[in-house]
Amino acid sequence: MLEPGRICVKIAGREAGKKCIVVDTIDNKSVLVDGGIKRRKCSIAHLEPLDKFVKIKKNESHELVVEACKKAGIVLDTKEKVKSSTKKKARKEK
Amino acid sequence: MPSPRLRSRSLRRIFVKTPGSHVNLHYRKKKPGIAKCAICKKPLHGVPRERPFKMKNLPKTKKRPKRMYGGALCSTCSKNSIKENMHKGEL
Repeated sequence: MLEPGRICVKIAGREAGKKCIVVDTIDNKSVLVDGGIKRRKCSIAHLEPLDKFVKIKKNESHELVVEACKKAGIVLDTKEKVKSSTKKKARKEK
Repeated sequence: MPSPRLRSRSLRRIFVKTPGSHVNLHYRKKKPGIAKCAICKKPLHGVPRERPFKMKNLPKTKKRPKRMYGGALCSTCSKNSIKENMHKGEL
């Protein structure tokens, strides 16, 4: 089963091919995932578990999950989207 | 009788109903084939079947699903290929 701390790869939807970490189990069909993707409920059928494991508590916050991954040496693609308005502001300041 | 150049089947025919209760025959260029999955050859969802001039003006997000291998593989084939790559250790 998928327990908190298990690293998975999403295989369906627009986040397919991205790594994520199981944070909590909701019921026997779905889990809460976080890490390389947005924190969300996800069906087990859309996840493929890896043999890697990270030590985290149940319901850990996003920052701590990412930190734990960094310590374990697991690369997550956590590129945060920058709003176009903030980009414009930065340009004006220059 | 249509003019000789219109008698070939390289153009598609469209019946247009006119306001005067007549039916006119119009000739238009044919649409390209349906986009298919590169592995299983099933028709792809979310990829429009339009002529190049129309595809050019469409936004990118309307031309393929925003997914890994979107517009090239169907959902089940992309699932399988992600799994394969994963177990090889490429991801």
